[in-house]
Amino acid sequence: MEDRSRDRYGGLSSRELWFWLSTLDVIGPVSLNRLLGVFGSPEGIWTHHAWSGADAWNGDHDMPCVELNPKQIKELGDSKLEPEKIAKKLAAIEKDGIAFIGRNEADFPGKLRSLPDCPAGLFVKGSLPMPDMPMVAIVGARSCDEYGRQMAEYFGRELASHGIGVVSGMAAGIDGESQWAALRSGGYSLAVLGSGVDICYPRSNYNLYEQLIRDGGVVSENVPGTIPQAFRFPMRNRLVSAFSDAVLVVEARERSGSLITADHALEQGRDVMAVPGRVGDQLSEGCNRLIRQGAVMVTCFEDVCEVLGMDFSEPKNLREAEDEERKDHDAEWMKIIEALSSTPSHIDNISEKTGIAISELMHDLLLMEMRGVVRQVCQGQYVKLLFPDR
Amino acid sequence: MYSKVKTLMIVGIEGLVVSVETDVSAGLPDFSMVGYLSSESKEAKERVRISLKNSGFQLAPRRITVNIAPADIRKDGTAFDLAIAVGILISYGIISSDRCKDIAFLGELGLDGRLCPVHGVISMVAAAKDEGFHGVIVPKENAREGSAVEGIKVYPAASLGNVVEMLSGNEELDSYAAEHWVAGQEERKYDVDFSEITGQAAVKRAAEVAAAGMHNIIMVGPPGSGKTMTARRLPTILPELTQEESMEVTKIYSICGLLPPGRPMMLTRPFRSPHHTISASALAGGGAVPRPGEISLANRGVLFLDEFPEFSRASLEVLRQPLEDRRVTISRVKGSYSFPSDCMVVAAMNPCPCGYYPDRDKCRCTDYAVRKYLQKISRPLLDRMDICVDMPAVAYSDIIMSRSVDVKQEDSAAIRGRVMAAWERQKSRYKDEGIFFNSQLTNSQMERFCHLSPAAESMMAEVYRRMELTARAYHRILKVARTISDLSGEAVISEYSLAEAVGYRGLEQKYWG
Repeated sequence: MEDRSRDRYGGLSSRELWFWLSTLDVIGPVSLNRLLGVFGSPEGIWTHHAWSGADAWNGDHDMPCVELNPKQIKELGDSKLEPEKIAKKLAAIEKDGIAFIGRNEADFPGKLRSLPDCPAGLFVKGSLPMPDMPMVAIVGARSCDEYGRQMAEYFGRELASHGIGVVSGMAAGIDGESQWAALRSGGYSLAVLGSGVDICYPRSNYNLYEQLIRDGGVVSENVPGTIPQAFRFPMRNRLVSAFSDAVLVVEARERSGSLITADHALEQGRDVMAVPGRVGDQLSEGCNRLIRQGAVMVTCFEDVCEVLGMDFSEPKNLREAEDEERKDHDAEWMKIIEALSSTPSHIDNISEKTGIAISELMHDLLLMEMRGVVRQVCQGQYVKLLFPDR
Repeated sequence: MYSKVKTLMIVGIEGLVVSVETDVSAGLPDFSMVGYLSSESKEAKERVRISLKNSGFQLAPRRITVNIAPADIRKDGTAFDLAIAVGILISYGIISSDRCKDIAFLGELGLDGRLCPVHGVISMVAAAKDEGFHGVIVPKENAREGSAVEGIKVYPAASLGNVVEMLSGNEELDSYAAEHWVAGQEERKYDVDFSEITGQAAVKRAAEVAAAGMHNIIMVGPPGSGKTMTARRLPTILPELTQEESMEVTKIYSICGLLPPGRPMMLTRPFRSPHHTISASALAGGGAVPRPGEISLANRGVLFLDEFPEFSRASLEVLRQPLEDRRVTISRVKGSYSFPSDCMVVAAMNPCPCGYYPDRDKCRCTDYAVRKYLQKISRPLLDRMDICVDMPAVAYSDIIMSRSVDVKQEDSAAIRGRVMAAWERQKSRYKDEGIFFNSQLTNSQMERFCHLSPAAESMMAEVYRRMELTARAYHRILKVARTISDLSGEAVISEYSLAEAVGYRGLEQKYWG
């Protein structure tokens, strides 16, 4: 019986049929869901006569019942021609250590099922988060500045060390920083890629990519081998927000991909949070606008907990933490700390503000850098660490 | 009749005495020259023949053969003309060979018999002196330059006729009244001064440290922050050239024909600033007959490489060996040539393609682009840059400050005073080591001379661990710390000197990883 039914579908199992749907590229997730709505299952789509053979849709115009255009119909027909290749391809992918999870399977993340554009399947390297793990997406600008870097690091670290998973896109800048911080503090982090999971993009994050596979997860809806293309990233962003319970935007310019993620989050019913920035800072314009539009403004980990409805500790604000730090040092250090901010200041300016001679200042700053109070972001330029890592 | 007169040529930067042998005998009238001559030397035949005629010598047609010995060294240059002409005149019996015995002849002839100046006179006169010559006849334009060599007489001449007159008489020749050119005696003539730079305290301090130990320095900063301005002023805080150094520098400039008009000697430290399109051989020296490159022209001074990453990879890599050995060796089939290249390299660059990183309001270069830009400079070359400083954009307050009279910026002379004191300390410390500066310390020498105070020792241990330094970076920090201690007169390196040196390390960990 089993064998006979498989014959009808080119010898493919149900799992392989879901994989077949995942490999379709011209047919996006929305069209796919419409097809599934009409035909009920991948098996239904496979056996429909319209794609190929004598009865094939002639391809002159759109197919009204499923609203497919000729190109999409052609893709369906062509992809069916060699069923044994589909099975072989899935086997090869799994041999490479990439797991395929079809939508029909039990481990398919529940958070994604309700999406109107839910993917047919996911490709995973590493592991997916436990179903009950709270997840927060941290997203932001690729060319971030020191303030954003510190914020991403802080939130990544604090969330992950409290058992909250960090979802992001493994991009340069905010994404990568927050994921690094999460992994470093021993927590879980998930990267949703716009390319295939076997392609590390950007290349500069290769170390992060490897560590994510080891201690976290890398996931994509695209078939392995898919190269990163600009149009895939907005699609990817919908999954970043879908995997999370709330989205935190750290730094975003006025026109930013992170805002697309925030829009998806709202559509999907996730909370949107934003880290405020100074008026006039281009890198914070997007965040500040989100806050104006009603996003929750967060300045510390406890604020995020509140949004998630969790409670870890009594709130301790930034000011107190800083004061505590300051008590340990003498007046000179305090003078230097006061002259610093999260925007890089050059040693010349610090010297001017504090009245300390350059050579002495270099000595103090070196000690402070080693104590983790300040950081040298580039030769001679220092920032104060907002959340000293103790 | 056979005759032999002496002249000189340039090999590398030194002069070499060569003989011009002339034979005039019966046979078909001919004028032939042998002795492995380059084309400009071969053309001497025509210049000599016609200038002899135009100087009023009616020579009977004979078979003239000239050989320039030794015949296995390639002869180039035009300084042989005068010696050939004199040799022919002796062979014809027009002048007597007695007067020419201890004299060497230098000079190019014009068709009208006038004597034209040649390059490299100072090296050639010095070589003549070493060979025991009594005097050298040189074109009058070269007389001042030649007279810088002590212990040999320099006789200026304006034309071939002039020379013949000098050699025909019996009276003592008029030698050029040797002006005493002593380095440093003449007032230093730099038209720039450190006091013109306002603000930029960190960079000025770094420049002082670099000068004190002759450390190579790289300046990173946005456009218009004063990188070029600082580099130009670096020679002004270096101690004055010694007599020997001055002679060495002058030789190189003389060979390249770059001596400033009216100045027979180079008394100030050279500053060379080649454009970034320069080829590898123009930078290091080269050519079929090797000539000194920019790095040799900067010998004892400053070689400024503006827009460092824009130089071609090949040009930059060729610097590595000369920076290490302080000498450029160029090998050719006919022997190898060596030029000194003991200079301080000052490099300037923007931190990213647009120049404004890390100011993210202005700079939108991606991290990748920034890294890519910095990676244009290879790691081995970067390892030779002891000091790395970042320059901030000039603040408005700094511009205002330069207008007010009250705030007096320190001038070059004051900084030079401190640098000289540091040089003295190094000189006395390294008198038996064959080196002069902290930047030349080898690892084993560092162990002997770079002692850290206990506080500095523990700081170094922590820095090494926390900042994940490499052994190379550690040694570089130690050398620079030694120089900072020399500036402040400490025998043992204090934690303050060390901390400052750590501050000058390149951020290779971060960007050049």
